[in-house]
Amino acid sequence: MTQDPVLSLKELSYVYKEESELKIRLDSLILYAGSSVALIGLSGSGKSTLLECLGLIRPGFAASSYSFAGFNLLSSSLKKRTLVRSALMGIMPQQGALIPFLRIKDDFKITLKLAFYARAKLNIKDTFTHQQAMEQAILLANKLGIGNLLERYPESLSQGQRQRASFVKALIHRPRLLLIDEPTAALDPVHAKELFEIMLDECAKRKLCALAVTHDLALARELKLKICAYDSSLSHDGLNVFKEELS
Amino acid sequence: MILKLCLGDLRHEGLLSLCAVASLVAVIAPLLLLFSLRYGILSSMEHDLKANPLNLEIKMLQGYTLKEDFFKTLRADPHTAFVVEMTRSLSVTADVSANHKAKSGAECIPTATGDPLFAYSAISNLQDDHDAVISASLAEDLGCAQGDILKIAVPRVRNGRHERAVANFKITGILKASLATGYKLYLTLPAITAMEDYRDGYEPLIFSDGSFLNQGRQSYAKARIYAKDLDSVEYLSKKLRQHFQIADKLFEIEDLKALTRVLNFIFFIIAAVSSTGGLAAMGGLMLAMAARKELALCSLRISGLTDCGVILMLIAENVVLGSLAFLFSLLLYLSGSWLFATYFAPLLGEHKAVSVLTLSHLLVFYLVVATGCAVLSFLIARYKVLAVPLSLALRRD
Repeated sequence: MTQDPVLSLKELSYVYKEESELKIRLDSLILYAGSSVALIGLSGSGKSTLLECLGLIRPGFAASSYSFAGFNLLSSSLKKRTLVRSALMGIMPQQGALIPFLRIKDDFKITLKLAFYARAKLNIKDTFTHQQAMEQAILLANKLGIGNLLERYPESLSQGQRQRASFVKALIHRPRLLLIDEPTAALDPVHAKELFEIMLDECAKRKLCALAVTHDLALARELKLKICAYDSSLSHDGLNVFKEELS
Repeated sequence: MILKLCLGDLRHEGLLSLCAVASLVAVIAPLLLLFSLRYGILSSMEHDLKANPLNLEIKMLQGYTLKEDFFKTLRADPHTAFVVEMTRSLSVTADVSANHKAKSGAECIPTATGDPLFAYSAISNLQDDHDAVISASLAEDLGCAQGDILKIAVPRVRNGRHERAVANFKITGILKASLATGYKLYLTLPAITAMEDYRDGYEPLIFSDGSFLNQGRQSYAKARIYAKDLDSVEYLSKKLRQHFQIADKLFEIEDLKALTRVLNFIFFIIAAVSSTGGLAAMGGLMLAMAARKELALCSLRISGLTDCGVILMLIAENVVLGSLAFLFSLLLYLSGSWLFATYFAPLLGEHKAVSVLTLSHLLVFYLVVATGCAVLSFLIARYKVLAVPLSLALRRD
């Protein structure tokens, strides 16, 4: 590929403060526009922690280099990192990202408002308006079968419907990177595969990078995702190493 | 956006919001009522004491030789509201008649411009030496009203002969019954002096033809003295007591001041204890509400809501709750106040209330409530909500 990577990371490591003996490490990660990676590992191996570090949610990590969408995140202040995350990343945590006291549509609007604010602060020129973003979100919601549920509160939706709504919310501001933590953990295998396929398909269409944490290696291979996995040969007591598989 | 988030959350947490409002109402409503009683009772008593000019009077108990300098100094004192000379240690008396009725031994009291008794009775000052103000009981017994003509007779014995001078006076006002008991006449100093001079054998104007005037009056026996206000009574009494025997209402005034101090202390302690309890209850509920929306706030912060935004959101929520609580408390207070007024109305005089709060009291109360809620919210947001790392909040159930 001749294009510049959207995300380029070298030697990221994180030490758990509560358990100072345990360290996790990701040797390298390079993501191009439209590529999707599954971050695989056993429960407790540190994959959600890695996702949080990449998503700038968990401070205190170290890396020799970390650049994203033209921003050198290592040399950026905490405030700037927060703006980059808000403007250019979409995050789907495991418990879902919906705000329980907002109607789904209002949740979308507030997410957009915050993203536009962050983009303005970063001097990112917008190629779309708030109105256009909302229209696109409604289209996606209709495609996912939740278009008629946007005036409702999350508590009246099923788990699957909430996941779909969280996905729409994560994409609404046209981020460059989508980070997903165990998107199918609460779903049955059939619906899990269906939803994962829809998500990846949408990311590819929008030329988004996607990084999904999952423990389901078989599903990841089935969906032909690039794998970044826990490497037992490099890991030992007190150190968990994750490595990109060579394609 | 902050307001939308705040109102959305309050609606979502309806039950907790209701508990928070109820806990505040439980503290604010009784405090409003308590303070209104303190203010109402004390201000009623203060008003009664201040308004009645008899409470501001300082009486000389015996006769002295008071020169013009004494009166000049006393008039110049800023604590003095009114002073007029009195010719005798015992009152001058006269016989009065009107409407074919006569009364003897009416007490004649000197007055001048600015007499506090006149102001209290809404009567104009005497304009002429032939004007008079009389007591209510005298007016009733003579059957006369303002504007009627009163005949005042002054008897004397000169060279063994009984003589009598009569002069007409116009009644320009009738004093309130509470201010003067018995038969009393309020006349200008020249009129009183003329009465005395006639008795002493002179031929003064008013009661005679002015052919033989008393040129030798150098001093007066007493003075009618009124202080400017309740605090001035103490000052003047202290000053005059050094040289004269006086009587005043200082005891009643001190009584009221002592009662004010005691009531203030009691109310302050009750208010402090209630407020502490209310703050603790509200603080606990705020903490519970903040804990329940930890994940939601985490999501908002991940989406880009700043720390300042989180703090503002919590402050706005709790100020709204505090404002609602104040509104309900106000309604409860008004009900309680109405009940007090209805129950005590037969016991109190007209225009009196036992429970009183002014608009500025209510405004101050509201500001205290709103500020308390805002400060508590800030502390909880800053040291509880924002202290939780995003990654930890995401992992909590």
